[in-house]
Amino acid sequence: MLYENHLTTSLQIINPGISTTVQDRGRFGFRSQGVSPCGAMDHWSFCLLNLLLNQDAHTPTLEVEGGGLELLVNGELMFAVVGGMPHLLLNQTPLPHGRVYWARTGDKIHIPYLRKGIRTYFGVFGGFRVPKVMGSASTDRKAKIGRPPLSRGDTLECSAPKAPVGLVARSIPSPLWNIPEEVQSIRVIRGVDLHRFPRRSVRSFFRQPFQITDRIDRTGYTLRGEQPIRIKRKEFLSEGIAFGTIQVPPSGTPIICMADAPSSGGYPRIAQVIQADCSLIAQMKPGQKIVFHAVRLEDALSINKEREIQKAILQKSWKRDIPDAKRYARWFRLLCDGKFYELGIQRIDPKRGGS
Amino acid sequence: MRFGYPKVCFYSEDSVLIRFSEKMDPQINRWVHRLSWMIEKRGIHGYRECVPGYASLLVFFEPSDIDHQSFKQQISDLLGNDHFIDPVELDEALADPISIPVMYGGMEGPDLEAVAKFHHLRPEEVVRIHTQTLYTVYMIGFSPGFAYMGPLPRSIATPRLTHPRKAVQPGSVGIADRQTGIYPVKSPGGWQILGRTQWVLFDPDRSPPSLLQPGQKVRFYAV
Repeated sequence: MLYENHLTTSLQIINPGISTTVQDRGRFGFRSQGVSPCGAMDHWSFCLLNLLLNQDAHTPTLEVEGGGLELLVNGELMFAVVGGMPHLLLNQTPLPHGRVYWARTGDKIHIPYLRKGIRTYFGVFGGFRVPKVMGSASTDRKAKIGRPPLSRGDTLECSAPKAPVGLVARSIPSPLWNIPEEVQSIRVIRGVDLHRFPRRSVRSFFRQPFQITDRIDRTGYTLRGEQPIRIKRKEFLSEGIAFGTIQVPPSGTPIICMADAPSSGGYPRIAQVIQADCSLIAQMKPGQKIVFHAVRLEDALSINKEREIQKAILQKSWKRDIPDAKRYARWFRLLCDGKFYELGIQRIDPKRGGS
Repeated sequence: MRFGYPKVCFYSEDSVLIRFSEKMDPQINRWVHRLSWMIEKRGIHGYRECVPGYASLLVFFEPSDIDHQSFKQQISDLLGNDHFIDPVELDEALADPISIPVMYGGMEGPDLEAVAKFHHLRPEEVVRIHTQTLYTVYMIGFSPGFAYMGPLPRSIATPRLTHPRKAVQPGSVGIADRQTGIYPVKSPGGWQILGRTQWVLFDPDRSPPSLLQPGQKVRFYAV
């Protein structure tokens, strides 16, 4: 019975927390129709989560902003939480994040807050059964596309197929955690409208630290610097923008466009944050500081390549963890005096004797 | 086209920007749609999607399919192609204007009177001018399916409202400076609302979801 495919596996939302939405990689191919791509803000952590759960990189997850999420499990499933440093509780027992756990009917999963970072990703093996709209399950809060943000009492259906037991032995090593510093260096490539800024403003953009204001959401992060960034001509033509584009409105306070940013914008674009560092910004909170650091496009591309290699190495290391995972009927993780122990259980063949 | 244009430059790790001008000009905007149409129809290797702007085109590609230099080269080759100079097919494809029924004035167009007064015209004259013009969709933006159209005749060109409305009804037809547009969904907005259409501007289940497409010709008629 334990290993049967529970078709009715679901999660009941006891508390949605500050804000929890369904996010996958994003809604692509409709920018010309004015549709924002949306998708996971901290793309790196989102990718690691699906890698950890051994599933397609586009599988929908829950993006938990600021914490507070409480779920009640109905059925049997495997879940994991990745991104920032979340405080994770399973039936009141604190568990390390970045690992895979079993949960069954009656279990309560709680992410009360994040010690570091501001958003974390909750995923189940098999993914959530959320209808795709225009190729994506992501919530677009502004355009009201996709499933609305979670609210109290909602039920989320999961397709929870039988998971390979070996998954529970996996973990995400701490060097791969995406956690920004108090003063974080952010790498950017040159903006396409650089010629629309006086040279002095461009210099001051790269020299001064910017503070993250409390005007931050999935659309954009507004920054505050000591010296405002001036624009040469105050003439605005609406043009395409992307995740990571830094626009400067006439007020002189830069805005970093994030996942839900519109497909086009009218302010001059001073720089473009490299993809790897967009995920870092997604974890930054008001009061933290950013120092921009210019890199060449080629550097950004090789950073992306390095990340792919890191993922491949991680996957390889997991294969080594349990060389013969199929031999085990179940894999337990025991918490004893604050220490974790792993226990694999094998079926013993009475004729041949056990091993 | 002015000397030095179009300019092709990298925008991000997976996109290239083609800039035709720094100024707003309906003639320049045609080039944007021509290039976007060429890319969509001819198909170029690694292409994902593009975002037409007033005077530029942002083109996204799949970096795992093609390296960035080769992708940029494909765009430059297209721009140098003789067919790009005179894509008759495109002009034919977009020649048929779409006619949109609009109820002008009253509850549906709360700013019609004010716009008429601003130009010392009668409301009927504003409606006549608005319906007699053939518009082009410059680009879609602001919200899903919101089409920026123009050129609006100078005789009724009106600045935006000083105090934007908190909620504009879906289907509201508005004007702002030398542009006209339709609000697809209920949203805040600062355009002067002349009327309203019953047509659905954006439907996620439709393909393509937006009723109006970049480059399309549009006419309004009063009902």
